[in-house]
Amino acid sequence: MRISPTRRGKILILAAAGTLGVALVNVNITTCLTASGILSVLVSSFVMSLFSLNRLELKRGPLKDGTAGGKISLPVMIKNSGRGTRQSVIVSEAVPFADKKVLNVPVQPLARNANIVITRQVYAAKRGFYKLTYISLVSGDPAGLFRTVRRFNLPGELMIYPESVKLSYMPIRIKRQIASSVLGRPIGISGMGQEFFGVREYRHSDGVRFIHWKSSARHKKLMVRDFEANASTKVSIFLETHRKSTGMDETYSNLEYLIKTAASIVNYLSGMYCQILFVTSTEKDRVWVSTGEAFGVKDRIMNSLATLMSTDCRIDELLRVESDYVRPNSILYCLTMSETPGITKYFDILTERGVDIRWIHAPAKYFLSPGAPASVHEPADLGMFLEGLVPFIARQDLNISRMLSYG
Amino acid sequence: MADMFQHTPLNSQAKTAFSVPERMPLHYAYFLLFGASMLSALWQHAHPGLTIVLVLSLIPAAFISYIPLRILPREFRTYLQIAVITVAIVWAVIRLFHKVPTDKLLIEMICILGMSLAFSMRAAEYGYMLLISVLLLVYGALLPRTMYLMILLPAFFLLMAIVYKSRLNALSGEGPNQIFRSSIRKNWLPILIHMCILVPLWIYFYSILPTERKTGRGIFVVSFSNDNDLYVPPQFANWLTSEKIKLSGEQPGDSNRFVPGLRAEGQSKSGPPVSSSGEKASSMDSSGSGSGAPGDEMVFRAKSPVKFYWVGNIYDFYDGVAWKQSPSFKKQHLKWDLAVQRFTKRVEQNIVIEKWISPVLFAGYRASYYSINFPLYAATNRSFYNERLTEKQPYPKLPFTYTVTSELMNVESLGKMKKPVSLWGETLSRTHYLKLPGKRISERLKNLSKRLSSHLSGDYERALAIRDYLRTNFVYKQFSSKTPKDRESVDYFIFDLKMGHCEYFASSMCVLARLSGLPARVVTGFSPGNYNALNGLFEVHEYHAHAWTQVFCDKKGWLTIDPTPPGEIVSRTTPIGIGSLHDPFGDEWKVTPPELTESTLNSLKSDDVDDVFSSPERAAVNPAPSLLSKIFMSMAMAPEKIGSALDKAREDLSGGKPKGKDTFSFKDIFTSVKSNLMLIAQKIASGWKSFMKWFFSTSGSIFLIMIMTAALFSIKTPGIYRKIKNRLTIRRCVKRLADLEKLKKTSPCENVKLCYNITRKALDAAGWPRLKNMELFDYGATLNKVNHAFCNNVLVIYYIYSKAIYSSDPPTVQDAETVLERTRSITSFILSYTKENKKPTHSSLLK
Repeated sequence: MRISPTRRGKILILAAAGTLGVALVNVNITTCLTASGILSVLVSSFVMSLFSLNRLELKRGPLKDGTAGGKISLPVMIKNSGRGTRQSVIVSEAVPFADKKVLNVPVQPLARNANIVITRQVYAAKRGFYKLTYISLVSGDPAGLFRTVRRFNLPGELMIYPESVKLSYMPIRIKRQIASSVLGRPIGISGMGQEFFGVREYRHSDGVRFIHWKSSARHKKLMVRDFEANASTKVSIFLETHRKSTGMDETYSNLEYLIKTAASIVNYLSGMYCQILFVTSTEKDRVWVSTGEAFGVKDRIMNSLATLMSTDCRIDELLRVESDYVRPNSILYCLTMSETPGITKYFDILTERGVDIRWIHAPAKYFLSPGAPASVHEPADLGMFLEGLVPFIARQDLNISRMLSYG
Repeated sequence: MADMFQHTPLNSQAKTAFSVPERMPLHYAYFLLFGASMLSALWQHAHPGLTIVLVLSLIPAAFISYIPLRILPREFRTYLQIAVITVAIVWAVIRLFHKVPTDKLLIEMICILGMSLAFSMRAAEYGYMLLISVLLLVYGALLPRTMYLMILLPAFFLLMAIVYKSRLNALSGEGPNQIFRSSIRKNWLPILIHMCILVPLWIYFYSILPTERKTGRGIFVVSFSNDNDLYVPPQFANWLTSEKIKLSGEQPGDSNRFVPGLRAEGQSKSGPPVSSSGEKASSMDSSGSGSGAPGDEMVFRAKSPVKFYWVGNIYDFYDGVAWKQSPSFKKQHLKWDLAVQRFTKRVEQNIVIEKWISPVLFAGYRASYYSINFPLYAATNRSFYNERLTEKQPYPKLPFTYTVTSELMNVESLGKMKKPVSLWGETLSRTHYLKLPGKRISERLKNLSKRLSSHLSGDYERALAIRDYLRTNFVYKQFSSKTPKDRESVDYFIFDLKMGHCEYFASSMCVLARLSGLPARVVTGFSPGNYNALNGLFEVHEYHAHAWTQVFCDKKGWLTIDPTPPGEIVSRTTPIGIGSLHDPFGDEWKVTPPELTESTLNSLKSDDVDDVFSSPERAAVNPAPSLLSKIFMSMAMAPEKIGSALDKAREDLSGGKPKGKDTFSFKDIFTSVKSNLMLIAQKIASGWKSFMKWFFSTSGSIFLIMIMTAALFSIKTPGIYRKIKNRLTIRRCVKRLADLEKLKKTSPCENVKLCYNITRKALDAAGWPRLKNMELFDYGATLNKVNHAFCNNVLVIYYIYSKAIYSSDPPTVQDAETVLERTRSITSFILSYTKENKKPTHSSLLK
C-alpha cells in the first residue's frame, strides 16, 4: 500500500508550512488559528487515508478478446470484508491499448460485506496482444488530500484484433480465367461454394433452404444441393510490412490501414467458401505464410494481424519467395507501402498465370495524422507505375469498403 | 450510481444551441470561498474601491457560467478574460506609481486575476481558483483583524465542502476532461469521522502554538496597521460616517449641542468616570456609577515620546461618598518658579480625536500649552492642567487634531542637585490635598494607613507601599456593588467589598495616602492605550477609561500612582514580528510610575523633548510641530502613505538613506523560531505530563473504563442486534407456518409460495443468503455442506416451488403438505443450529 499526497494535498502542505513558519515568527491569533487549522486538516486526512483500503478485495473477471475500434469489457469484482461502509474508491488499471493509458472507474460506497461487479468498458484504439498485470485500488481520505493505492496482482491476457470493415460485397470472381481443373469433388457442407456439384441426402446440420425438392420427391427423402470444392475461389493476400515505408503514427499509419484492409478481406472471405493464401513478414519469421480454407485459417491470420509489426522485408522479397504458390486463376490482393519497381516483373508472371492482381498501394505520405486533409492524387505519383499494372492508391480518408467493392 | 459517478468528458460538450459550459459540482461554493478569501486579504488593507468592486462582481461572475454558449460564445469569454487580465496589469502599473507596497500590489493583482477565471471556467480553472483562495486566506492570516476571524470559519466550511465533493477527481488525478461527482450524502460517515478528528486536533495544535507575544523582528515588513478592526479607511469616511458628530449616549435632537458631563443612563457604551450618569463632570462617585459597559471604539490616537496617562479631570475634595473639584481647585493656577522650571521638560503630543466622548482635550499631565486650529482656539475653557471645549460651540468635525505640550519634571537631573528644591508649584497648599472628612473616615482605616506606611520614611516608598497593598489584596471587578448609603466608600471597599473597579482603587489610594500625610488627588481619564508599533501611535479606546491617583512626593513632584492591579489595565502592543519596530516602552510603567520609568527618563534626555529654557522664544510661543509630527498628522488616515512618508522624514532628518524596509536579520528570525519551537515542545511535554497524571488518576481510570465500555458496546452491539434480529425473524417464520396449515388445502399454490418465502427468509436470517445471480438449485446444493437432510429439504421445496411457478400443472395438496412439512423441519433445524452459536457464513459455503 502506498500513500502519497495529491496535488491539492501538496498545496495544503505548502500552505501549512508557510503559515506555521509565519506563526512561529509573527505571533498572533490569526496566523496561529490558520496554521493549526491547516495542520489539523492534513493530519486528520493522513490518519484516515491509512485505513481507507482496509479489508477490500479485488478479483478480475474473465477477459474477452476484442477488436480495435470497439469496446472492451474488463470486469472486476470488489468485496468489502470490513465492518463498516467503505467510501468511494477508484479502480485504476493501465490500458495500453486505449487512447487514455490509464482507466479510472469510480466505485460507489460499499456497504458491509457488499460484493459488486464492475464492468469497465474501454475503447480499444490499438490492436495487439496485451498482458495485463495488476489493478490498483485508489482511495484516500474524504477530502482527497492523500491518495492511498493498493495493488492487486491480477494477471490477464487480452488480444485486440485489428479492426475490420464489414463488407457488404467484394468481387471475388476473376476477370480472366484460364481453363480450370476438371477434377471435382463435393464440399460436403450445404450452402458453401459456388459451382453446383450434385445432390445428396439431407444431414442433420444442413440448412433447410438448400433442400432440393425435386430430388427429395423423387428419392422420397430429403436431398440437399452440394457444391464443387475445387470450384471455390482462391485468394492470395500479400501484405508488406516494410519498416521504412511505414508512417509514424501508431494508430493511423499506412500499415494499420493495410492491416485493416487485410482483416476486412479475411473476414469477408471466411463467410464464403474460399481458399486463402496469406503471406506477410513478421518479427519472428521473415516470410510468414498461412494457407487453407478461409474459415479455418481465419483465426490464425487474425492472430497474426493482431500482433503484426514492421519489419525489414519488402514486398518483392515476399513475392520472390511465395509467388510460385499463388494458384492460377486466383485473386491476389497485394497490399504494399514501399515503392519497389521490381515487383512489376512478378506481376507480369502472375498475370500470365491467370492471377487477377488487385494492387493496393498505401504510401506513408498519405497517412500523416488523423484529420489531415487528403492530398490530391497527382499523376506524377504514378510515375513508376505507368508501365504495367497500376495500383490503387489508398489514402487515409478512403473508405475501405468502397475500395474493396470496386475490386 | 449513474447519477453519482457521472463520467462527464468535458470535450464532448453538448452541441445544442442552448448548451452551457460544464460546471463543477458546488459551482457557487467556489465563488463564495473566493469572495471570503478576497475579503480576508483585502479588507482594510487594499484599496477600498477595488475591494467593493471585486466583492460585488462576484455573484454576477458566477452567473456567467449559466449563460448559454449561443449568447456568449467561448471566444467572447476568452476575450473577456483577456480584458480582465489587462485591467489587472493596468491596475498594477497605477498602484506602482502610487508606491504601494509590493505585497499589497501582488494581492490586489491576484484577486483581479482570480476574477478573470470566472469567465471561462474550465474544470482546471476551478482548481486555480481554489488555489488562489487558499493563498489569499493564508495571506489574510497575517492581518490580525476581527473580519478575518469572522471569515475564517465559513471559509473553512466552504473549503471542506468543495474538497469533499471533488474528492474522486483529486484521487484519480484525472485532468480537466473528466469530472467524477462524489456524493457527500452517501459518504457522510467518513466525512463525519474526518471532522471529529479534525476539530480536536485543531484545538490541540492551537493550544500548543505560542501565542504570547515576544519581542523580536518579523520577516514580513508590510505597511499596514492592525488591531484596527473598526477603523474606516479614509476613502470611505465620507460615505459611511454621517455629518452628525457622534457622542456616546447622545440624546436625540441634541446631536449638535455639547452637553458637558451629562449622559443618560444606559445609553453609554463606555464607562469612563469622566462624567458619570446623572452627574456633572465636576465630581466622581467612587461607588461605581461611572462604570458602564466599556465600549471598543477608539477615542483618540496620540503621538508622544513618553507614555502618559491621559488626564481628563482631577478631583481634590472628598466628602466620604464622592470626589469633587473644590472651587479653589478650579480656580487655582500654578506659580512660576524658576528653580522648578529649570528641571522641567516639555513633551509635545499630537492628538487626533476619533470620537467625542467628552469635552476634555486629553493630554498627559501637566498640559501647559495647546495648539488648536482656529476657530476653536477661542472656544475652550482652560484650567491649570488641561483645556476643555465650551458649551457654546458644537463639536468640531472628526477627526479632530491638536497639539499639546506637557511639562514633566526631569527627576534624574533633580536628583543630582545638592540643594533640595521645592517642587510645589501650586497656589493651593499641600495641606489642601490632605483634607479628609474626619468624621466619616473610620479608625480602622487610619490604623491601616499607619500600619502600611509608618515604618517607611520616604514619600515615594510610602506611596508605593500603599499602592502595592491595594494591588495585592484586592481584586478588580468591573461591575461592582454601590456603596450603601450609610457607609463611607473606602471603608466599605477595603473591609467589606474587597473587589471593585478602578474608582474604588483610586479613591482608596487617595484616602490612604492622605492619611499617611501624602498630598494626593484622584484623576480620571484614560490609561495609556495600545501602542501601535508600526505607526508609533498610542491608540486609546473606550475601554481604556480609567481612574487613578496622583501623589506628590518630594524631589519627584506629582507622580501617577495607579493602584489598580496591572493585569486589569488593558494595554496591547501590536503583534511583535510585524514590522521592524517593537514596543520601546515596555511594561515597566505598570510597576514604576510613568514619570519615573527608564523610557521616560531617556526621552527627557533626548532631543525630542525641549527644555523650557532652551529657546526662550519658544517658551512663550507655541512650538512648531516637527516635520515628523506634521507628516503623521496629515498622513494618519492613509496607512499606505506612512511607509513612504517615514522614509522621506528619515531622509530629511538624518540626511542619509532611510533604513531599508526589507532589511531583517536572519538571526532574529532563527532565534524567534527556535524559541517558539522550544515553547511548543515545552507545551507538548507539559501537556503529556498532565495527561499522564490525569490518566493514572481516579477520574482518568473511570473515563478509560467508560471509553472501553462504549467501544466494546459499539463493536458488539451491531452483532448482538443482528443476532437478535435474526432469531426473531426465524421465530416469526415458525409462527407463520402455523397459520399456513389451513391454507394448504384451500390454496396449495399460495401455500407453496409462502413456504418458499419463509424458507428463503429463514435461510437469510441464518446467514445463508442466496448470492446474486446464483441459480436456485445451485444455491440449494451449497447447503449440503451444512447438513445433507437439510439440503434435501431445501431442494425439495425449491423443486415444488419451481413447479408451481413454471409448470402448467398447479401444485397439489400433497405438494403443499410436503412443502409445509419440509419448511417446518428446515426452520427447526435452523433454530437449533443457531442456538448452538454456530456462525454460518456464506464464504464457507462457497469454498
